[in-house]
Amino acid sequence: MERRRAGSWKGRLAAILRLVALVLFVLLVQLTLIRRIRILGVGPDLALILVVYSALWAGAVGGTAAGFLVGLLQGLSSPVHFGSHALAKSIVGFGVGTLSPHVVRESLATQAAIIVGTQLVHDLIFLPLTMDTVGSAFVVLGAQTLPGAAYSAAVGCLIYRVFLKPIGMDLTSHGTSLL
Amino acid sequence: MPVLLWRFRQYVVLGVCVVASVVLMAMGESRRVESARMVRSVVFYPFEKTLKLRDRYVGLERENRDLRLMVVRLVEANSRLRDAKAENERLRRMLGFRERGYRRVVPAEVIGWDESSVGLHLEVDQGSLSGVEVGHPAVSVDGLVGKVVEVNAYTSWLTTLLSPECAVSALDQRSRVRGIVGWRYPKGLELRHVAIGADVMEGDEIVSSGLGGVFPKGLRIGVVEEVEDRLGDLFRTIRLRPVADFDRLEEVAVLTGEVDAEAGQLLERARGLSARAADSLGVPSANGEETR
Repeated sequence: MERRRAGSWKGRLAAILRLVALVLFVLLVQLTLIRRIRILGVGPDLALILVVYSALWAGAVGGTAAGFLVGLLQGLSSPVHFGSHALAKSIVGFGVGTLSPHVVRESLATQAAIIVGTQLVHDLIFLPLTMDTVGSAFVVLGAQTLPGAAYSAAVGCLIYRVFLKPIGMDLTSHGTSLL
Repeated sequence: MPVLLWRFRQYVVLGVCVVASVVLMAMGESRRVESARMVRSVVFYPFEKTLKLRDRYVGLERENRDLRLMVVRLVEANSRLRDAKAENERLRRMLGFRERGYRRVVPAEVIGWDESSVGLHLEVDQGSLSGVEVGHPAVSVDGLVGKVVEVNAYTSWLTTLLSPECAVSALDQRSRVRGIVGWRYPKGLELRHVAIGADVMEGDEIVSSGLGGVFPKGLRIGVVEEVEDRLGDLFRTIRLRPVADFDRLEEVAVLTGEVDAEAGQLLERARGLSARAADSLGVPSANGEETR
C-alpha cells in the first residue's frame, strides 16, 4: 500500500533534487571520511543508511529509486563490481519501502532493527555476486556484516535524531512520493 | 494498460531497476562505464581535495618533528647504502650484469578509499595528465602498495595488496625462495605456491621478484608472520604482515613505465645534499667512514 499522496510537480522535483544532493554528499563522506570512525576494521555503511531512510520516508517507489541511484553512484566510485551495488540496493530499497507503512517507523528500535535486517539482506545479495566462493561470502557475512550492521544501526539512529529529523525528514509525517 | 501500470508502479519501478542493474553488470567495464566514472571523478575531485586539505594542515608540527628525526636516520642509512651501492655496481660490472634504470616517480595523495570485504581500493589525485597508466605499480615509503587499475584525467584507482585481484611474484629476501603473494578474505596476505620443505621462516622479509614485468624487483611487500605445513598439502601456508600501513596511508608514489634519465643526476644532487645535511647535523658521512 502506497501511503504517500503525490504532491505537486514542484514538490516532486524538489524531493528528487534533494535526494540527488544527499546521495552525492553521503557518497563523498563514505569515500573520504568514514575510515576515521572504523572500529576493528568495521565501519558503518552510510549509503545503505540513506537508502533505508529514503525508503521509510518515501515508500517503495522512492526507496527503489534511491537504492538504484545510490548503488549506481557507488558502483562508479569503485573500480570493481559495477551494477551489483545498484541491484542489491534497489531490492532492499523496495523491501523497506513496502514494509514502511506497516511498522512504527518513528521508533528508533524499529529503525535499528530495519537497518540490521537490511544490511543482512543486502550482503546476502551482494556478496555472492562479488566473491570467489559462496563459502567465503558466508564467512564475511558472519565476521563483517553482523558487526557492521550493528554499527550502521547505531549511526543511522544518531543521524536521524541529529540531522534528518530537524531538517524535516520526520518519519512521523508523510513523505513526498516521487511518483 | 496505463492504469494498470500506475496501480502497480512500485513493481514496475523495481523491475526496471533490477533489469537495468543486471544490464549494467553484464556491460562490465565498457567504454561507457569508463566515461561515467570519468565524469564522477571530475565532479568529486574538488570536494575530495578540499576534504584532504584539513588533514594536510592538522598535525604539521608533529610531522615536522618526525621528518627531522627521519632525516637524521636517513642520512646515516644513506651513507651506508652509498658504500653498498658502490660495491654492488663493482660486482655487477665484474659479472657483466646490465645497469638498472630508474623509473619516473609520480607522487600522489590518497583522496578516496573503497574498502569492503571484497578488498581495498584507493583513489589517488594523479591521473593520465600526469602520465599515470593502467598497470603502473604504486609504492609508499614502507614498500609496495598495489597497482593502477583505472585511470581518469585527474585521478586514478589503485588495487592494493589487500585485494584478491592483486597478485605479485615475490621471493624471500633471505633464502631467495619464490612464490606468489596474494590476498584472500579472511585469511589475509599469503605467500602461495611455496613447496613443503622450502626454506621460509617467520620474520623473513618478502620482496617483489620482478618477474612478470609489472612490479620492479626488490620492492618490500611483507614480513612472514606464520608458517604452517598442513598434512596432505603440497604447499606451505605462509601468512604475511604487509609492510605498508594501509590504515594510515596518505601518500603513495606511482612508478611510471618511463625510465627517468634525470634520476641519476638527481641522485647525485641528493648525495651532495645528504652530505651537507650530515655535516650540519653532526652525523658521520660515508666520505670519511669505512663500510660497516
